[in-house]
Amino acid sequence: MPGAISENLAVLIVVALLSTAYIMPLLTKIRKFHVAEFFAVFMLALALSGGVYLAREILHNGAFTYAVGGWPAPWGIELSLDAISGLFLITVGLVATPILLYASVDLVKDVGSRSRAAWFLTLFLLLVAALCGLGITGDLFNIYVMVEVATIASCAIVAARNDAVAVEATFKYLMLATIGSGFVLLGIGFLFVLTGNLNMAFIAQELSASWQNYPTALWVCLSFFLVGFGVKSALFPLHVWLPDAHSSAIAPSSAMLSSLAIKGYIIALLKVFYVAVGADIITRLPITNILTVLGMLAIIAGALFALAQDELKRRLAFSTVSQVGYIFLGIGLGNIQGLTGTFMHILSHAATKSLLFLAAGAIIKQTGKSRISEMAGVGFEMPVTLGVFAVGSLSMIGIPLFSGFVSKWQLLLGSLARGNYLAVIVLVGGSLLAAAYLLPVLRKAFFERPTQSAAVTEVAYVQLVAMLFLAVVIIMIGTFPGVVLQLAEQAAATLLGLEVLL
Amino acid sequence: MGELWSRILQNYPYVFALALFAIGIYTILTHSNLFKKVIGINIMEGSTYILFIAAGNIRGGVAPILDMGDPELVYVHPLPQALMLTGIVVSVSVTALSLALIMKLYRFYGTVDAKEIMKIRSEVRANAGRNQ
Repeated sequence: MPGAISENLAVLIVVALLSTAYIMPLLTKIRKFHVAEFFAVFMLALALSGGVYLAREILHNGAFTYAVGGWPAPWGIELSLDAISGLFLITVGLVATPILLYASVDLVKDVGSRSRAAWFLTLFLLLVAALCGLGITGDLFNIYVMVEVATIASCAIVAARNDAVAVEATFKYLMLATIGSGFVLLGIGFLFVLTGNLNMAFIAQELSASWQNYPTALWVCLSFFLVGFGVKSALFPLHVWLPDAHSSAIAPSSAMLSSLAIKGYIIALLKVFYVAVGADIITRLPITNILTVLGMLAIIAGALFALAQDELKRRLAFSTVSQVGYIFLGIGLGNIQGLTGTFMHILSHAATKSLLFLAAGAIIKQTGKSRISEMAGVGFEMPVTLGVFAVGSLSMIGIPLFSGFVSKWQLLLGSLARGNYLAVIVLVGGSLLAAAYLLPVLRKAFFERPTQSAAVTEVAYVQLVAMLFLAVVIIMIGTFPGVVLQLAEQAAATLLGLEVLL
Repeated sequence: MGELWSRILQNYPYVFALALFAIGIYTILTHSNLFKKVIGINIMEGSTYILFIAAGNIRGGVAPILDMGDPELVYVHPLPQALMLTGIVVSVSVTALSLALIMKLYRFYGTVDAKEIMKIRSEVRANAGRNQ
């Protein structure tokens, strides 16, 4: 790769996606719509390869920082490229590319008109750019901006389908997400008052020297961050907006929001807690215990709510609440295995849940049935779609050879290392409940005769390819976790400030 | 008790900002009129501006434009001001987006009251259940 590009690759990924986002409406005016869609997918694939290149660089040569515009840290904005960024860039690229490929087939029909579809592409790319930005930033100012871009883009993506239910869900989402932003901004304000900096490395230095002078203020500030990011990433008691928003959007939006958008806020939370405040301060405050308890509550409560839903997309949406619990449980455990499990689950859940939502969208579109009780025999009519749905379900449950197993195994090891046996029980119980809410769909689809033989066919080939790609990703991570697991371990080690184990 | 009061009085801009923040959230959560919710959001975001600007301010400080001729000058911190400019942009965008959504909701439901929208929705759902 030419020197100028590879040196500035970190910022180029975000800039390229942002500029592609804004030329989308123009491009659809002067070229065929499919050209614009193809260009957008191509840019996402390019961003993915950039992410892979950066991750390889980080694995071999260690983490580095990048000063945007050539201004060094206290004056300019600093991007910190470490294993966390590498892993998250790969996650975003790996999942967003097939989602947009899937969406491109009948986007115009889904959202109503050609110009609306063009703006949908803009919002989608803006969201991806903001998520990449959250992954690589090392500055609280930047985190705030990227969080806001992601929030507004994801709200507008829910409203892409022009109907009453979706617009109402969007409004609810926007209100709660803005309350969340308010809390995050207040938290940033407190950190700024305490330390006089917005750069995370400088905040960490300042705090480790003098946090004992103001433990209460720090505690208040961390709880602001917890509430703010908790609302945005649908941590259990604050999840009320998620089921409506994620189930009323069009299938690619649901996949994008459920798999990636909420993860961006979790990465931001991890960065604030473990990079800005620092692992040794965080683990000494009771906040990790709170995260563990909330995570366990979310696993059980989300799964129980999911069991009660008959509508397939609502069931998947509540399943997200449960799986976010796993991620927060790992953060709360605060040891190397737990955090590795968190990072692996961010990747694995992103691939799995997007696959499940895309497959659900395909089923609903082809059969016109959105309730699980009506789906008898769909498996005979759409074998490929239901086949990848089965792969997603098994990964979500945590069966060996699928990616969900790798992350849940790490979380299990983390709980055992902490001596937290309740967490072990909850982890296993959550998996059993996941089996209870996902397997009935497969039983209904494969082991019951179709009610009437209407001519139901598979979706378009491009959409099947997108779903098969995600299924292959899930199986590849499950069977050969090697490099990805190494990256996740290094990310966890970076957060804990340990020597990188290579 | 006296010490606590003097500390609160010393830090009155922060206390004021937090009180305003609470008022904003209270407005968003308790009012069922959607426009009042948007007003609540603006109050809430306004409170964070006060917090940041107070944090960066120095009494007697001037705008941070370097004046080489006068080394005695004290400058206020420019970083929170830059952040708050961004914050104002964000809050304007959120307000615009939510007003657009309210307009759409009014076209769909004929009301801007969250409770009435809920009522209409549950009636629609009940009718759909009866027809099946």
